[in-house]
Amino acid sequence: MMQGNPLLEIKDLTVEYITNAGTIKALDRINLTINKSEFLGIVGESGSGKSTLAYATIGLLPPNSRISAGRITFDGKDLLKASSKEINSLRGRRISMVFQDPTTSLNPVFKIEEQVCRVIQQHKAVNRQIARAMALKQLANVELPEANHILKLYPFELSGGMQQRVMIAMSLSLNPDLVIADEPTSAVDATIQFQILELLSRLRHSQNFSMLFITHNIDIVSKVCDRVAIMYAGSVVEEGPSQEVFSNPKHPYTQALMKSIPRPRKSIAETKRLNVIEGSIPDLISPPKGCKFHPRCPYAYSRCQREEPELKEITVNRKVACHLY
Amino acid sequence: MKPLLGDRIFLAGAMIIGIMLFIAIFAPWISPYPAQGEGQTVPNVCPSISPAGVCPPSFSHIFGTEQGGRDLLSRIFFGIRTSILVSFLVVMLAMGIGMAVGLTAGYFGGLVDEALMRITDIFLAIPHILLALNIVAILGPGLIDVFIALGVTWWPAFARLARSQAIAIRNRPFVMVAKAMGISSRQIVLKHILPNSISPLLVQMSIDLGAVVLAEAGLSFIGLGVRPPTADLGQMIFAAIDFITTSWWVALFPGLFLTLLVLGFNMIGDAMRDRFDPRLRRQF
Repeated sequence: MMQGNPLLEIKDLTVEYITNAGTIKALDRINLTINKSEFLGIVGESGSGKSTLAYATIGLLPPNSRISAGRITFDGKDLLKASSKEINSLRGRRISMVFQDPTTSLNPVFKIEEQVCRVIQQHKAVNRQIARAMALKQLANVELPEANHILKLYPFELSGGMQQRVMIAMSLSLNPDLVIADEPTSAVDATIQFQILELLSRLRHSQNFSMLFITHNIDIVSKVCDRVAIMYAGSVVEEGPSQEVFSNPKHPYTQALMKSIPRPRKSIAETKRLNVIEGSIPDLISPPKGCKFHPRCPYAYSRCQREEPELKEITVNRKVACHLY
Repeated sequence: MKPLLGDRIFLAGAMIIGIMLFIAIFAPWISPYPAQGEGQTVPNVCPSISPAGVCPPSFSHIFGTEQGGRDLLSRIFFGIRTSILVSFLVVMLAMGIGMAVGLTAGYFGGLVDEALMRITDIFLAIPHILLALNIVAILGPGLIDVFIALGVTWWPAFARLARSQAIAIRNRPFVMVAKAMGISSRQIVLKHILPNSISPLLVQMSIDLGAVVLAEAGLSFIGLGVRPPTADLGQMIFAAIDFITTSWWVALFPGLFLTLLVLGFNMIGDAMRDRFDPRLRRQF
């Protein structure tokens, strides 16, 4: 999958949060690339830094955070060195974002038309009529029935699933190159979740965008993403084509994750306890020395306590950060 | 939740203010002696009783007359006009400045916030009647000067309220979405922060309308308000001091209307506050 220049290149990105309790290293030398029209999934538990990665990419980290090292390059442009004006013109137009909870993502006091058109008109010098036509087309693209009617509604008049479709329409309205999705389906129920994922898979063919897909749901990633990066305590521990990673996980953490997915039982008699990963995610103010996963790792040996493993390519396209390989 | 119009206190307040607004707008047409309301001097109508022209209520002057023989009812009608005009203008000015300062400080935070709010604190540290007094003393009394003095001193309360609203709303997800879509800061403040923070500001506005009426009457009472030919309730009460032992009506009627006007604004304000902030709702 070697193409010329990747669309997004994240190099040695380190992000820290400054809190009263101390400095939290939320991202620790992250290296990732997304190619044109590729879907990259980021999987990790809460606190693994996956949302921080999303916010860092679009430049919306909270004020108490600090990017202490690294580079984010988007289409040849260094995002961390760009002026706020340049960033603002990229946001929505070339990089956009879909958020977790659609019910709070729309401004409650304005109609859908006003909100979608405002995004379009912020980036394109078109009048309201043209913006409205563009909004209508995009709403139809996300398979909302009666788009004309929906434009006249307020957000509270739509269901959660419809609101998320509106959000997706809004973020795709200017044909961005990269869409960052921060758990876009975790706030909607399973049926809607399935429909939204189907929709995203269809839209990627018609609109040809790349996606950084953040989730804690492995099933979703294997459905929609080409490649996946597994994150643990602020580091990428494994990366590779999603089918391969899930069918043949290399890193002990990925293996444990795969085992912990509940599988439907064939009968009540088969009842057994859910597999869990013992222990909990480490304290990121003073993380364990060596490999951050070693206190929970069944295969840990003396080297794991001393040396932090680097993410290295073990076979073609597969990268793992573990001393076992 | 019952509709605002079903609230008896709100309805009573709205009725009082409705009548007052009607009087204020139509004063020149409904006053029995419109010219006298505007300060026309008249020959003494009852010199035998009071050489100053202060006559008790009669059929031709149902509230009696004040000093100079002017019809008290007409003067009160025009006085209400002044009070309402000043209070609306002052509250609008205060809300305009306060919202601009408060929303900017709250949304941007950091140094901008510190700088703007410390300036606000300076204004808040001085009691506003005292500050208004100083400004009027410098600018000289008159309608426009009272308006500027009160407006300039009244905004800090709005600024603080707007700031707290902006801080609460700037972290709402839809603001984050707007940022992620590249919407400019100006647009975010105007289209996302402002419309979502307006309701407590409107409550504050309706409560303050009454307070400004009183402040303006207070300034006029001590002679730093509206200048004489213009009718003003505070100034009428001040002028009545000389006659209060002999002619009760000269102070009573302007005072009564002033009370009603303030009461009406406060009732609307209270009902709206109860509506928007249920924690403060009175328990019966």
